[in-house]
Amino acid sequence: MSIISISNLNFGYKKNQSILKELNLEVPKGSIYGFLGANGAGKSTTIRNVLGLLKPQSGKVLVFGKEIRAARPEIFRRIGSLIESPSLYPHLSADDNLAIASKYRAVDKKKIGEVLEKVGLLENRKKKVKNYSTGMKQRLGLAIALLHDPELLLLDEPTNGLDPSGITEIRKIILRLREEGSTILLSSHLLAEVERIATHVGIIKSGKMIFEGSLDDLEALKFSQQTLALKIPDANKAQALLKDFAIVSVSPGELQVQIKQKEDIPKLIKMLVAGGIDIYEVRLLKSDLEKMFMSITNE
Amino acid sequence: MMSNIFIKTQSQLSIEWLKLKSTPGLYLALTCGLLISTLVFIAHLMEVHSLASLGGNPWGRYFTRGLAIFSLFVSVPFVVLLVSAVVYVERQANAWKYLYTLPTRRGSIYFSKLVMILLLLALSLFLLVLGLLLSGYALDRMHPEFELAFYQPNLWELGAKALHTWLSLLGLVGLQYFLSLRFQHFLLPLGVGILGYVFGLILAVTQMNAALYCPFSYPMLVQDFGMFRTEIRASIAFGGLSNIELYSLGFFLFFVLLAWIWETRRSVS
Repeated sequence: MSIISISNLNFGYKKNQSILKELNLEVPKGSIYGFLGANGAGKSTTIRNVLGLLKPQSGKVLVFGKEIRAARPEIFRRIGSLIESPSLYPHLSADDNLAIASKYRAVDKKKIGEVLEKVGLLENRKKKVKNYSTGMKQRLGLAIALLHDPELLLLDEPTNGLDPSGITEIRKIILRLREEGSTILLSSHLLAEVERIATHVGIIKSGKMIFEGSLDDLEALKFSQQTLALKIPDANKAQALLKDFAIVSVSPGELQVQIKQKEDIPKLIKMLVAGGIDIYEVRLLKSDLEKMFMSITNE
Repeated sequence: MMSNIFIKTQSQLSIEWLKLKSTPGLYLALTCGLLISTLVFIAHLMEVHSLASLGGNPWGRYFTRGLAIFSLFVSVPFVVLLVSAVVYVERQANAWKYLYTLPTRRGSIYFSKLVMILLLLALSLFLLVLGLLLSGYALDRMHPEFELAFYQPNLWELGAKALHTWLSLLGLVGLQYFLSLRFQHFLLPLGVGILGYVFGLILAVTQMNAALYCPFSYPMLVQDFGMFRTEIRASIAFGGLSNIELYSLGFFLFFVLLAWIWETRRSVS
């Protein structure tokens, strides 16, 4: 079952403008959906359409199976969101900011301490937000989004401006939330960040969804596009042995071979060893998703 | 049903009050009335004969002077600043995108903010009245020749005058609320407010009929403060209200409706 379902979404800020083009997106229940795209690709615009902050030109956006504009309060009761920079009243303390959220959402004030502890801000709860660091503000924004134990959490670039330890903290919180049963849509322009926690991935480029699937699907895609570089003394002899593989290039002492799946790697090595060829080095030239992501999203 | 609405309104207002904690908007509302009454008090200390020599109950003259200073010179810039400051709190916090993803209707957020502005305006007027009353007694302790303690202040009359001023400012509240929501920054509503104040003053002083259609002129025309003629005001037009107050209410309803249409339909980018 999809918690968010977008079909053929078109959006532009002006009539003839096209920022989102026939966008389709499905966020399965209980997943961490990594929504990837370069800056300006349309991630935030998509999330704002999901939340009903922007009105689509055409297409359908369903959240919990309902159109958000038709069932706004009912759906928002089940959603927590953090869109880009958090909405915080700088002249108030973390306690006061959360008190405002708790009143709006009719949540028991006791929850304030719980969420502050969850995001590691309990000791700074009385401090005015204007004196917070960027990371602290981001964590407070997350605390506000978590206050009512939402079933669906929309996080737009939640690690923006955070240091590595802050990013790790946020990652842990997201994983814990998923264990507790929440569905999370997490947008980012960093694949490495999403790769570590996402169960599903959607990649958007210039307003169009160019890939959507599970992390395994993405892994498979990654291997289908990978090249293995081998340092060997006789590249020509090796080429003759590897007839089943697509050879990318042959140069003295190095052979580059395209592989389609990870099982190809041991198979290829065994064939070379059986053919009496010494192997000095094996390298994956496009060894991480980041490079693949770059190749997909770059013009 | 009614008690549910009352609880919801009370809760929304308590949220608005919390948001205003330590903000210029709240300080402005709390200090304006007291500041005006203090200035009126100081002015009378400096010019003792201004009240003492006229005879009769001096409270009426003392109150009228305080209310005149507020209505003619302070009320318009005060409302412009107050409305902008209250709305700016959301802008500063980048909060609209958050507010409109809450399980609360947009209209509810819109109206609670408007009600808070009206209450703050009423609070300022109440503090002005209170300040004038207290400063009047203080003045009498320092200068018994004023004979303020000898007479009773007519609180009903004072309350009614303050209410007329409050009603005359509603049109301006509506206009400035619309501008502050429509243009999400401080400068434009403020600029319009300052220019409108000057324009309103000119229309009021010159007694042009156009003043009837300019909400900036209303607090200057709603009562006869003896500063300039108020011929275009029809004293009792409807239910004890003057035509100025009725126009003010009309503008208020028009701009509140316009702002509501805008606010409940706008995209938050």
